[in-house]
This record gives sequence, C-alpha cells and structure tokens, in this order.
Amino acid sequence: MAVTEQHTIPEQESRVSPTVSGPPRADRLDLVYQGARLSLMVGFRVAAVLLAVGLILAIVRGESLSEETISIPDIPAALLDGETSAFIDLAILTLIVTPVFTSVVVALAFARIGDRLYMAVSLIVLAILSVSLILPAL
Amino acid sequence: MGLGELVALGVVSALAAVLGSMLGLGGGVFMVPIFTLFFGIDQKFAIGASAIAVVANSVVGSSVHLRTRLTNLRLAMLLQVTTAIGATIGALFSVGADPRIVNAIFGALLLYVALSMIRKARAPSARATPTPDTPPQTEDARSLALRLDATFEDAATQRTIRYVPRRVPVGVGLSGGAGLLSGMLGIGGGVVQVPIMNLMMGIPVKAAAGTSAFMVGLSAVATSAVYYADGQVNPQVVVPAILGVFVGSQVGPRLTRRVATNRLVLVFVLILLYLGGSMVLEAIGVALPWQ
Repeated sequence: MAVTEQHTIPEQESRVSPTVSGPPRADRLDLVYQGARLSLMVGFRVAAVLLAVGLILAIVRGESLSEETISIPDIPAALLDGETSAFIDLAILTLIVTPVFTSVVVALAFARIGDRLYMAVSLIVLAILSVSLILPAL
Repeated sequence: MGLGELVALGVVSALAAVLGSMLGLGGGVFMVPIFTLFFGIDQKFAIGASAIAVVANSVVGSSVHLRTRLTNLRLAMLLQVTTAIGATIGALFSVGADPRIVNAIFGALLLYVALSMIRKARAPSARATPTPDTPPQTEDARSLALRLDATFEDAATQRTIRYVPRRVPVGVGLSGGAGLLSGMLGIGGGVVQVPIMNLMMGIPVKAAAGTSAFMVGLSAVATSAVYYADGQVNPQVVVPAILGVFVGSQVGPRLTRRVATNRLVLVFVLILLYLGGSMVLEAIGVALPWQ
C-alpha cells in the first residue's frame, strides 16, 4: 500500500486534540469506557452466579446436564420449579445478551457526553444485534 | 455424555483458549475442529458452543483492554456495524448449510492461517528489520473528523502511543467479511479482524487486538442467538466449553509472558495444518482413521 505522506505525531500534540473543545476528550470518554466495563462485569457476574447455582443443584441432586435447552418462554416457570437446566440455560442466555446490554450502555454513555454520532452508531449496532436475536425466532 | 467426557471437553477448551491467547487467535479456531473431529460432536452443536464460549471470553477479557484504553470504542462500534451484519448472515447461512461446506470453509481458513504464519516466520525482512508495532502515521482527515484517533499507554515501552486509523471505509467493508466468517464458523473473527486493523488501517497491533477482543463478543452474539433459537445449543457441550475457556484465558496470558512463543510457532503451525487438513478431508468425504 502506498503512503504518500508520512510524519510522526509529536508527543505534545497527543494530549488534546485541537478539533475538540471543552474538557480533554479522554476525560469525556471515561464515562463510555467505564459504562462498557461495568456492564460487561455485571453481565458476567450474573451469568456466573446462575451457572454456579445450576451446577451446584446438578451435583447435589445427582443430575446430569441436559442435552438440549428449554425454550425461552418456559424458562420462568422452570426457574420457579427449581429445575437445574433452567438456571444453566438462563446463565447461557445472560452471557449471550450481555454484549447487547453493553451496546445499550455505550449508546447511553455517548449520548450523555454529547457524542450524537456514536450514539447513533451504537444504536445501529444494537438494532442489528436485536434483529439477530429476534429473526431466528420468527 | 459421561463425566469423563465433560471434563475432557473442558480441558480441551482450556487448552484451545491457552493456545489461542498465545497465538493471538481465539479458542474457537481450535475448539470447533477438535470437538467435531475427535469428540464426534455434531458440527452445529460445536459451532453453537464455540460461539457462546467466544462471547464468554470476550465478556471476561475485554475488561482489561477497556481499562487500559487498548480498545478504541468508537472504532469498534463503527466497524461493528458491518461486522454484525456479516455475522448475522453467516450464522443464518451455516445453521442450515450442509456441514461439508462449512467444514471445507473452516479447513481452508485454518490452512490459510497456518501458511500465513509460515510466511511471516520465514520473511527475511521480518527478522532483519522487524515491522514496527506502530506503523508510520498519516493524518487521515476523515478519521480525525470521525474522532477515531486514540491514545493508549504501552506498558511494555512505557510510551504514550497515539494513532489515527487509515482507510476507514476499507476497514468497514472488510469487517463485514470478518463478521461473515465469524457467524458461519462460530469463531470470534479476530484472526481476520486484527490483520484488517493492523495492516490495512495502520492501527498498532496491541490496540487492534484490544479493539478486536471487544468486537468478537458482539459478533458472536448473532451466531449464539441464531443457534440457540434453532435448538443447536447443547448445554453438555457449552458448559464445559465456557468453563474451559474461562480458565484458559486466565492462564494463557501468564504463559505467554514466560514461554518463548516464537519457538512454539512451528508446533502451532503443525496443529493448524493438521486440523485444517482434517477438516478439508472430512468435507470431501475421506474417512479419517480415528472415526
């Protein structure tokens, strides 16, 4: 690939972009990065707890893991019945939707810092992911 | 499936994650062929399990990259637009596709990765003048207008690295291809995404890897959802895979620091050639000895 112009970026220019006014961009983006990290952490911990409960129940009851998943509408009832596979399937589903949840948080965070462009981009990604979640069920 | 098999699946998944992290690849690249070739697991269940394991790995692993700002969130979301579309299409295709077609594509990908590693190791210029981690920067007006420039602290060199992605439209377009492969094969897609960002877009390899680590989770959501909805998720395969990948992803980076990774490249190449060749043979109907 041809590079028609090359120059290094002086380090003193790296702190603040001349195209952005207000607080340094790094501080504003902190909210977005923190939101993304927090949402991933929450999703992982919820999934881990559900998975742990399911595995402990399986061990205590001497049950083996199911070979198929419960259909999503039946999961709440199965949870109330204390079925092992309900906890495990819900853990799997929690993991699957965690990145979707993160997209929501990232979009909200971009909106909060006034970055409408990337709020819109994040919402587009969210819409595409939502289609991938809904389409197979149709 | 007996307890022994479940434990074996978990151990294999952990090893796949360790190998993947040492090579800069995801565990899915190893998991799907090993599950199908050696455990006799149906290809659809293997892909479903791998995709969910990729999500789990990304959810856990992204936190570090986000904290150190190796992940360029704006760039990740922008590239994710086409990646997610590609992943959805790929997943919808593969869930109903003839397994031989998927095997052939997977095998070809593994062989390509192996040959790329051989080429990279043999290139004399790579030894004489190592490729800089940070390619020469050209200020891309479009990237600056899109606020895609980013900064991160390189812990290895204690330097602040600022970069400006180049060729953003090309990167966005090619990311769709990465998504397509990810959705079709149940892998993260980092094996394609990182070279796109590093070689095509001029992003330092650490930032490319950090951004990819965040993106692969989003990409694998499409595959996971499609396969779950189609009933192609077997908890007996998924649970050991998730647990194994979690353990392996903790061990892998620690091992990478201690082991002379370049000395293991030949071993990894042989593994990839073996698995890739096996997948292609399986696709064309050649019976493998252990089946």
